[in-house]
Amino acid sequence: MKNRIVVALLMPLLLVACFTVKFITGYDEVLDQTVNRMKTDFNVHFIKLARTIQDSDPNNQKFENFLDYYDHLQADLITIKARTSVLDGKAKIVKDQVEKLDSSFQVFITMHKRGIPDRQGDDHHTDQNAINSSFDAIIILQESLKTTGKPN
Amino acid sequence: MPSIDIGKGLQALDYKKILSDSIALAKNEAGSSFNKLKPFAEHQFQQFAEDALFLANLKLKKTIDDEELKSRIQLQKLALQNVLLAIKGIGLVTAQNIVNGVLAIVATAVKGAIKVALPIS
Repeated sequence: MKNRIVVALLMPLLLVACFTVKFITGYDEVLDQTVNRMKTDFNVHFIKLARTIQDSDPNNQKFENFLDYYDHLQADLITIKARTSVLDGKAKIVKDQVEKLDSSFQVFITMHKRGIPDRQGDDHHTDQNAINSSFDAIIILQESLKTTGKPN
Repeated sequence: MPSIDIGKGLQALDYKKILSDSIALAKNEAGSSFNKLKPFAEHQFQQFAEDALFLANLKLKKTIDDEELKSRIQLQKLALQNVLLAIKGIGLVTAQNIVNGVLAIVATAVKGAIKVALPIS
């Protein structure tokens, strides 16, 4: 009798134990590496741009002078958006993160096209911080996803 | 094929060990995630507060107009949303690792007690 009770209590646990659970998508090495490279490229771009808005030349920071970077950036954004668009529903958080990064860059590009004047005391570091935060958020989640299915 | 007495096998399961191993695993996993997240979240939240204040000051001094303030605050908002998504995602990874870790502990105990390998990959 006692054994039957134990079996009845343990059976649901044994049945559940036949499966591993998955709450979130797995690690994506290509996404991780691409985002890390994009972060470096962005910071190199920003350092060059910041230099031009701290001098007295009102023309060297024009959007047209940085087209090469923005062309590559748009290509990278297309790549990572396409990559995450085919992932399953468990990847919603990662997809949302990539969309937020894309939106951030669209805001930044619009701002640069509108014109960034020479201005002492405002090197736009808040914009650099914001975009780096978006990169870091994606990178730290990918690092965590490396441990998926195996406890630290 | 030798028959297995499930009743005896279940009696042989060391429930106390399963429980203590599971709790230790959950503590370790949650602690590890917290240690990873705490400095990241603290840094991001502090930076957001400082940058919002910096932008408000630029507006106060009329260095930037409403349109520029709006765009730059929008960048801050998107960054904060991305940080919160990372925190949410890491929480899910932690929960997933704890559940799967406990399942593995149970599977090992069951295998030891009644020689049945549960299909946990």
